[in-house]
Amino acid sequence: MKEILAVKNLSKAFKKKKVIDNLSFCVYRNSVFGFVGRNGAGKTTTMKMILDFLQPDTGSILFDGEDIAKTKHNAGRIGYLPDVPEFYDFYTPMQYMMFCGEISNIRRRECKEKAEELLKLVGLEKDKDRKIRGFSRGMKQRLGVAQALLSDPELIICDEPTSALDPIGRREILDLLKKAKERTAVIFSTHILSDVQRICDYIGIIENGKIVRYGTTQELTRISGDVKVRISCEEEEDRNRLLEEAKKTELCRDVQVENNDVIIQVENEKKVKDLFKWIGEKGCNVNSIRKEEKTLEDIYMEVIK
Amino acid sequence: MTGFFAYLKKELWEQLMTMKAVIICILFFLLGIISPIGAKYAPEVISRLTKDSITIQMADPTYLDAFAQFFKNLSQLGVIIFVIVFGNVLSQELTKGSLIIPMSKGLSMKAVIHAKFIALVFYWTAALAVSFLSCAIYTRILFSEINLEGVAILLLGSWIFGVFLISLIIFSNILCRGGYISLLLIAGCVGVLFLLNLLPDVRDYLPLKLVGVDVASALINQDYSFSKSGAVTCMLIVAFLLISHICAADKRKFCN
Ligand SMILES: Nc1ncnc2c1ncn2[C@@H]1O[C@H](COP(=O)(O)OP(=O)(O)OP(=O)(O)O)[C@@H](O)[C@H]1O
Ligand SMILES: [Mg+2]
Repeated sequence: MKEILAVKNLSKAFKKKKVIDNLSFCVYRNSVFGFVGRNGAGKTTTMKMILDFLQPDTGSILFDGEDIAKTKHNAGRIGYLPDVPEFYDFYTPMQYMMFCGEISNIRRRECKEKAEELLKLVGLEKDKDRKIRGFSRGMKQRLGVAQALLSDPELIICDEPTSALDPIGRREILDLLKKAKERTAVIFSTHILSDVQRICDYIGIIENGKIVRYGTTQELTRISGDVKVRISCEEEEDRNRLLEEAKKTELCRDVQVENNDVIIQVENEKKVKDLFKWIGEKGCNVNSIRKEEKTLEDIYMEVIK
Repeated sequence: MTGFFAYLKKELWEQLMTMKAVIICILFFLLGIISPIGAKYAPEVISRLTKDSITIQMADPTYLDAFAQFFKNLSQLGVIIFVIVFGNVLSQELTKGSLIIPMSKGLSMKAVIHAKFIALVFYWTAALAVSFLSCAIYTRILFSEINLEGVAILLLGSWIFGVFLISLIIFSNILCRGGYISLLLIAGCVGVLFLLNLLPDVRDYLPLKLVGVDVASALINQDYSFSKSGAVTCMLIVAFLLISHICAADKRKFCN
């Protein structure tokens, strides 16, 4: 897959406080890149540098193979949704979209069609001729997404696009971003890890201005390390026997009881087979045996610790 | 200058929709009709108040008094109203952050400055026209005699003074990048002008001269000249705009 954006060895300090520290990652065409990290980790700062709103101290950002510091005509090619989007209150969404279209030099008729389509897509169809003044944060967020997609950009950057949305709205916007990747690449930052897992192809975890994990969603959740197997037994007797036995074998690195389940931790993937065999030999009444998938949250906790 | 026309349209539309332009026009209309009324009835009121103690000899007021009153009101009340209403046109947007999305689409800060300047000059011109027309019509009604000869140049002086204030507004808004400090900066600059005005040698060169002539004698004797102060004011306007322009070259300063 071809990359649309490559960030290389980026660093940025605000008054001696290093905020971004030798950060590198890339974003591929038609993929969604999820950017996660705690408050103040440097997500917004990185995004602003990609938009050329902030000047990096060192490092370079290549957009479509060209250094953004040297090219001036990227404006229509990157769409941006700020973390707290501010619009003009006296406009209606439709008028605002036309205003944006005029700045991006889109022809009126084309822009109108496009705006109608996008406003429908983000669910503002009914409110498209109401003044923005009365809009809720979620509605503004939706308008922000529509606006970012207006000029058919090759990359859209969304800073916490789901932070103000209700559960249904969140799902809609996530589906929207997922759909959008057919025409553009997406970078989005969030604190909600399940969102990332749901729609992202690539994930970067940022901590203190450094990327501490980067890869595809599968890669990250598959990563090395221990595997947990959850065995559920109904009889307390069986459960206790399993617990005692498990403590004795070398196969199990750790064992614990959670509700009615025994959770046994083995060293790696390969040992899982042996464990299954071992359980079979014990002859307990077992309801189910299941290998536990690692969630992104587990990975995140491991990394951030 | 990407997005200049789109932004200019937005700017003109915004002042209308947020009622600022309407309020300015109404206030300037009132300012226009107050002047002849004041000129006509003030002497009567004064003489009635002081009837018992002293008798003051006063000439009957004429249209000249109405115009004198008008230009005085314009240069004081009018200008203050205008600066209060429009003094933070740009800083307000910078603090709110509403320029970020347009800028991410390529709108340049220079385009913003030019559009704001032109929109404000447009509304200043409209306000001036409204107030002068209402003043002239009321003067015609209250004083049967009226002569508009020589008024045009006085109006031009006031207009240029307004444009000077607009460039000062833009300049201070760009320099202070938001907040009420920019209003203080405007007040400070005007204060300096008033201080300089105390020096007889420089008085003739100051923008204040444009709105500080003795209207009655100016209209009758034509004994005034705007050439020095006008030239200086125009130079100041250009200088303010130029500095704003230079400050605006780096858009990064304005989108964080
Ligand atoms: N203009 C600025 N001047 C000084 N420090 C800044 C500036 N902008 C950001 N910072 C600092 O940079 C760090 C990173 O901020 P940033 O906004 O990038 O975090 P973030 O990852 O987006 O956080 P959040 O999840 O809360 O949005 C913070 O410590 C912040 O205080
Ligand atoms: Mg942020």
